Amino acid sequence: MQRETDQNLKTDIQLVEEVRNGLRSSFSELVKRHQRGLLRLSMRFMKDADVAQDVVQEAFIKSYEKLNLFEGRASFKSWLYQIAVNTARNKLRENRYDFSDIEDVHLSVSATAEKVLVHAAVSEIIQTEVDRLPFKQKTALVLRVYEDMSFAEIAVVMECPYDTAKANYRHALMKLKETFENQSELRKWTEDVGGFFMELNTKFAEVE
Amino acid sequence: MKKTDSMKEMILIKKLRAEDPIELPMDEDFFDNLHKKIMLSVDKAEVKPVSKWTKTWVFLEQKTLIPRAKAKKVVRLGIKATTLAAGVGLLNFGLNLSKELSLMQADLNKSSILLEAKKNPAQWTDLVANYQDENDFYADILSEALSQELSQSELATIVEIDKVIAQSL
Repeated sequence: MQRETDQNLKTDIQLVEEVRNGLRSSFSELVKRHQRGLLRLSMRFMKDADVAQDVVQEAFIKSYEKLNLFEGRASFKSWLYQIAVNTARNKLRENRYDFSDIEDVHLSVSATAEKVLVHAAVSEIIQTEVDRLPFKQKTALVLRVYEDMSFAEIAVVMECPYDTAKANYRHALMKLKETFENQSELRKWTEDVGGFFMELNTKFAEVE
Repeated sequence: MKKTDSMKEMILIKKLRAEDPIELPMDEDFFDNLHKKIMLSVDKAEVKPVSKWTKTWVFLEQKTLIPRAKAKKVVRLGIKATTLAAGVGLLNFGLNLSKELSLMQADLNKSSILLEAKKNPAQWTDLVANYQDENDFYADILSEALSQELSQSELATIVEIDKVIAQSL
């Protein structure tokens, strides 16, 4: 118990150092810390929980094997996400997975209330639009919006300069913005959501 | 306007987050199992030792990441500049060519008119006197040519012709 608490207090870099020195159990702590985030990220690309788990597993094994290449310039998380994104991309290229089945999208939605159905439809449209983005733009968007990463971290994950990461994110956002403005279902949804969004939208309309 | 855009962007991000379709399993057992599965695979793996060459390669790769992007930008800019220059050059060449062609055509017309005029100067002189118009290009050419070139070089011929006509009368 004491040992577990000690492990919790250590930074990722300290744990990496311990693994390098032969303490395999420290890697177990790194897995515990990052498996949720990595699974969430993989599911955004793979759409299938089982395949996403494979990506996570593969990413952890690769990171373990290549641990000596990690220099600590960026965070361990960014480095790990970089490996996961590359693994996901390779898997998509190899197998050309397509899990965007309507049934899959509706799996997590109870089809009873009408409101829930509208919600599911909007969610589906948004997901489709995000999936239609080019891989780099989608990666930048996912990391920024859902993983709350800084552009410096995104640049590390995407292995590109800071400006490129930012440009990819902005392009993705611009494309989605156009969709939001053009699709009637999404406009209706914005009205349904009301409250904060509607208030702001009205203010923008007044300003413009 | 920029402020409005950034606010719109903020709303969009909030919308995206609110409609996040990814639902992670909340079950702790699920993650315990995933952890076990990963660690079982990791137990079979080994941390690979890094050779000097690999380290150098990684170092160079990181070092060249930003210069590579800059080089790409420079190359793109160079291609754009070359294309633009070639376009302007072609346009200029085309304009010059058409100008030269029209000059050549004008010269050709001028010489053929002069040739005709030399054959029968009296008739052409009358023609010019009768039909010359401010807008008549060929008439302008003729009057100019007849008053300068023709009067000097073909003066003798015209005098000869006049003499023959006078004798015959």
